[in-house]
Amino acid sequence: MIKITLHTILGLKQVIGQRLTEIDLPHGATVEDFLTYMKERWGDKLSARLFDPDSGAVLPYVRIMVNGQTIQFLEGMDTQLKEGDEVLILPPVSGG
Amino acid sequence: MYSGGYAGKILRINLSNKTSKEEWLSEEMARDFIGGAGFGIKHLFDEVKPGIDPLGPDNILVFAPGPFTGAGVPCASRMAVTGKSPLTGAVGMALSGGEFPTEIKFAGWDAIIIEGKADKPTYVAITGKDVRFRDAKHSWGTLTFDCQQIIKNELRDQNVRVCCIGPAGERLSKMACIINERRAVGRKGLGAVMGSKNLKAIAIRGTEPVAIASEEKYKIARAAMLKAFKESPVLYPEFSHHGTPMVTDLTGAMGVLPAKNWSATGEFVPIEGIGRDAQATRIVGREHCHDCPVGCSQLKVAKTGSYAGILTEGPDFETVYAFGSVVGIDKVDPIIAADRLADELGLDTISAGVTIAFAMELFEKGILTLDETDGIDLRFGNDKAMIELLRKIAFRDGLGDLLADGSLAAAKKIGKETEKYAMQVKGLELPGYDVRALKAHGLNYATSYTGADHCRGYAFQEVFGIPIPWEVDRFAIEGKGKLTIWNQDVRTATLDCAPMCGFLIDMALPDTACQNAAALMEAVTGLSFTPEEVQKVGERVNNLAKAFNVREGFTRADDTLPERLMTEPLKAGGSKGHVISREELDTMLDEYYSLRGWDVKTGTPTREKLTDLGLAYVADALRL
Repeated sequence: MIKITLHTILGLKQVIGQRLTEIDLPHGATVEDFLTYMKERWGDKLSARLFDPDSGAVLPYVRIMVNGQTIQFLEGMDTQLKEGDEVLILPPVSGG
Repeated sequence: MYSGGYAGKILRINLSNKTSKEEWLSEEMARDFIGGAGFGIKHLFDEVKPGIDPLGPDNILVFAPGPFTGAGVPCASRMAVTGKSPLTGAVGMALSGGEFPTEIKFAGWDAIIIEGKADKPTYVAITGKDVRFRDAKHSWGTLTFDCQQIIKNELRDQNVRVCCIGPAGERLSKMACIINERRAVGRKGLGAVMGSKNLKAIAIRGTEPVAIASEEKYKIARAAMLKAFKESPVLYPEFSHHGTPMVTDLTGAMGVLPAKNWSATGEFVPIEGIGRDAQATRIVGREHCHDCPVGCSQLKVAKTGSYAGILTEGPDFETVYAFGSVVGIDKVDPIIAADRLADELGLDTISAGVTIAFAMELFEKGILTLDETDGIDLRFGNDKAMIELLRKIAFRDGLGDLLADGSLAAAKKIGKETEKYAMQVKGLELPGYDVRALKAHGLNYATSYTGADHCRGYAFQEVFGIPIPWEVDRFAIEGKGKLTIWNQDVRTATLDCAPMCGFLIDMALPDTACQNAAALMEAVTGLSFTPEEVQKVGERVNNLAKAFNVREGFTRADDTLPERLMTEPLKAGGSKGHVISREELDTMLDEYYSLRGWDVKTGTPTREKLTDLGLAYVADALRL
């Protein structure tokens, strides 16, 4: 198993209950595996914020980063996670 | 010729001889510059001679709303105020919302130009075409909220709209802002320009509706905007309830919320104390700008200790940064109190907070001692010290006098190689995004014609992940010149010249900002525009502003970043290890100048480019 840290903010944090959550995943787990795990653990309340209800795909405005880098610039959903990684999931935010 | 939107008239007020006159707004001016910052920068370049003292009578101030202001277009109650900045010596331009911009239009004006200097403290009362010069003896010396009330009472009109300066502007602090209601024309020291002219306030009242060229097209364009607002995943669900403080949570999580004068970004991340949820516990209501359906401005009341009961509109994200993380403060109530106090004193919260953070770092390093701080324990996190220092800055009292002109001026006076701790570009203090891990944002800080200004070319692609006009890797260097030009030109045209609220456009219309502005131009003014022509207005204005700065002596060497950002990698957090090296900045600058059609060596616009933009006379003025 590997230990990774899930980092969430705002509405996602409210569903998960805390900003930082340590999670054990099997060796070789990808971002996609991790999202499946999240779906199973936090159920519909989380799914409504992360996934398109029809296609099941991650909503286009949800951003996923591994160690600060957006997964589109890594291997996308196939990005492999390793021990100590921080996965940051960001809901839509604007302002500034 | 335009047949709506524009009043067709500009009001020129001369304070030296107490005269005013009407000037005609040409179609060419409307087409080439739209309004807002476009009008301001055009007048600034054409009328202000090179090398003048920004705090002398030869400077001007242009208050310019836009063609959509007052026409019922949502998020268009905005105005740009433009003059030569005393803080930077470059173009000073800042925007504000609220009710005042709309009232300028209702009074029948597309812009108000202030020139000269009054012989004694004065305010100008405008009712439609009637302009009165009134003695400010009762309001001079007052805080901004009290000033507005005094003037309303004197004019026996509680509905007159007033913008004014506070003690900071009267004392020519180069961080002084202009306040209308509870909102600020915040940055670049334009409040000091008002103070230098002995102009305490402008009061304005109007009753003229703004004409619309095509009601049918207007209804379609407006409906498209409102539909986009409703479809935004963030605008109504989040932003209308919480406003900008949610950006604190985002930047904190990404490791780009600057802390302790940018020495502890990623290490000191006080989200629990100052983030959205902490702010939400203080909300008691909200305010809307004129014609805005969203109402992002939250009214908050502090609850604890000596701050209990203090109300402010905001604090917005930038103020949460400036009176929170960058000064090492992790509680919400001191930020609320400092925001209110800064508004009342007429101080820009960003420059004031970052300048205080600069002084705090010097104190912690032993460069400033208790003797030099008037006995104030200026360690990071001391909120009482911050509050005390704000007052001292506005009144130029003791250490406050040293800091009143911003961090760069203070560093020059202190010496001891302290300039490296002044977090500024061209003299303007840095806003709340650590650009070591947001490279286009950093290039914008370096190249913005106003200095380190997040509003000019905000890289929302890097901060919010919005993939428009393309997907952007925030850590990459390549392509950031092209992206920054796109951001600067589109935003200048649509947010600064139109002018419209950047929050709403970013959240609902990021991919159609120019199309939206073009449709509104045709519907409201009757002038047909393509989206490309709208964007070209942005390019024209950015070139003209750059030309003003070049004429003032700015070169490529001024398009830079503080040494810390180029030499000290981020030590912790979601962006650990990142930095913008000198070489990386040079690479981005080369790309930026090259694609701008500017001379890469000097950063100066070329004659060819200026001519292409219809600015050949500017090339003549620069002797290119």
